[in-house]
Amino acid sequence: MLKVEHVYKKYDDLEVLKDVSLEVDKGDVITIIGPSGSGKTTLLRCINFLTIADSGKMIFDDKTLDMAEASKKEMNEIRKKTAFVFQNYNLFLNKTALQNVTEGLIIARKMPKDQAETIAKKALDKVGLSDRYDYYPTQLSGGQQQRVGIARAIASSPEIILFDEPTSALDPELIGEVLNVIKELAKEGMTMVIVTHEMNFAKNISTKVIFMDDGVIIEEGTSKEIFEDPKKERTKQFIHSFEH
Amino acid sequence: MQGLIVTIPLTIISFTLGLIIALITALVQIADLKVLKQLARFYVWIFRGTPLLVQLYIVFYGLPALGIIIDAWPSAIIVFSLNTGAYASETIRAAIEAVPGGQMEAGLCVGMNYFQIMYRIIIPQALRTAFPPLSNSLIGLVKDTSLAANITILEMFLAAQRIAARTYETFALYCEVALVYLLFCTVLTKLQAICERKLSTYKGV
Ligand SMILES: Nc1ncnc2c1ncn2[C@@H]1O[C@H](COP(=O)(O)OP(=O)(O)O)[C@@H](O)[C@H]1O
Ligand SMILES: [Mg+2]
Repeated sequence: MLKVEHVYKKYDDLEVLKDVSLEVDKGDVITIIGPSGSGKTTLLRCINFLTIADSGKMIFDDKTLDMAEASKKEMNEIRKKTAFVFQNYNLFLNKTALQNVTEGLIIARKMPKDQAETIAKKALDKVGLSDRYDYYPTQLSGGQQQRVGIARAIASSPEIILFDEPTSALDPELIGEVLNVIKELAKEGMTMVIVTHEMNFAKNISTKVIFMDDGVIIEEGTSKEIFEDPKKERTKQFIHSFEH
Repeated sequence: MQGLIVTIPLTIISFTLGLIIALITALVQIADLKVLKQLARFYVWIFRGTPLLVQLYIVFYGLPALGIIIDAWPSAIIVFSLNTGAYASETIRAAIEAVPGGQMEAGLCVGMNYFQIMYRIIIPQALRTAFPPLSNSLIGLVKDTSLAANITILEMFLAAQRIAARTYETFALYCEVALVYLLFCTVLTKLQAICERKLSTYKGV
């Protein structure tokens, strides 16, 4: 469904992505793990053109494009097929929970308001926020805000949802509620790419795990392969650092 | 004071036009539109860097020497709105820049374009931030309109001067003028507080 090949990105002299390739098939739940600064966020952002790669090829539903030279129109097409869940939620601060979800549907997808609201309410119900439609982001806890973020993502029926550390800004007791929502989506067959530091979660949910370090994919494989029998020394070290 | 009949509309018209000019000037700079941006910087530089009174004199007394004759009222409105616009544009520009970058990114991710995000997400948030300093500008403008006396506009201050010239009651009269300005500005301050409370809903009360 989505393939990115030979993605390269540098900031000044710092090579952040060095020839990274990634393939996502329908129904995949891919988790990307790796130390901080290894380029995980940048990779997700390049897929969504929030960051423009220096070079790289993208194939999305049989359409090929040059990631460094994509036109505004091509970017917008990809963005409409994907959804992004941010580490710090990035809810529209001047909109209620419901409006956060309807905004993209009404404005970007030209959906009639009542239809958008029906879809938005369904999405918010699904993430357990049926009693928070009219709350502004500042009136919601971090966990609730992130669930609105997920509702906003699923409402547009994307082909893929990209999650960038969806729980790392949350207090420990709020992490579970967000992870549960993501697990629920996985059960329904939603295609997702998730950057996370929640190792247990990654272990249980992934159809494929990718370990990144220093701008390259060191190792990838099934959850079992990466967590129980990693081949590379660096992967071993990283996995072990999470075991107490 | 019958002079208020001039001060109030002069303030309202100039401030409204000033805000429109300010928003355009700020957006031109934010959007980084090459030549227009230079022009906007130049305009802000001139109007912030020269005294308001001098600007009034140039437009009303100076331009006729170049064959451009503008009546007192339009002169005052042009100068006051351009002057307000220059200051307010900096306020609005700073407020737009203070909106977290993630708001634009979230908008792009749901498929909205730059203008839709600006209009629906960023500018409303920025105006909320800019509201107190803009209220300040409005109060400043109320008082600055007294300078229009210098270009023959019979606003409150000039009216008082004329009566004072007749009656010699200078102290009482000018104090009365000050009091009226004070009252007017107090009303505006109260209004500002009410509006801010209304606007604060989404900022977490
Ligand atoms: N906009 C930027 N400008 C300069 N350096 C950046 C920028 N974004 C990220 N980097 C650098 O790129 C590297 C990878 O960042 P990132 O993709 O956020 O890593 P991760 O998400 O794996 O922690 C880091 O060293 C970071 O400092
Ligand atoms: Mg990151």
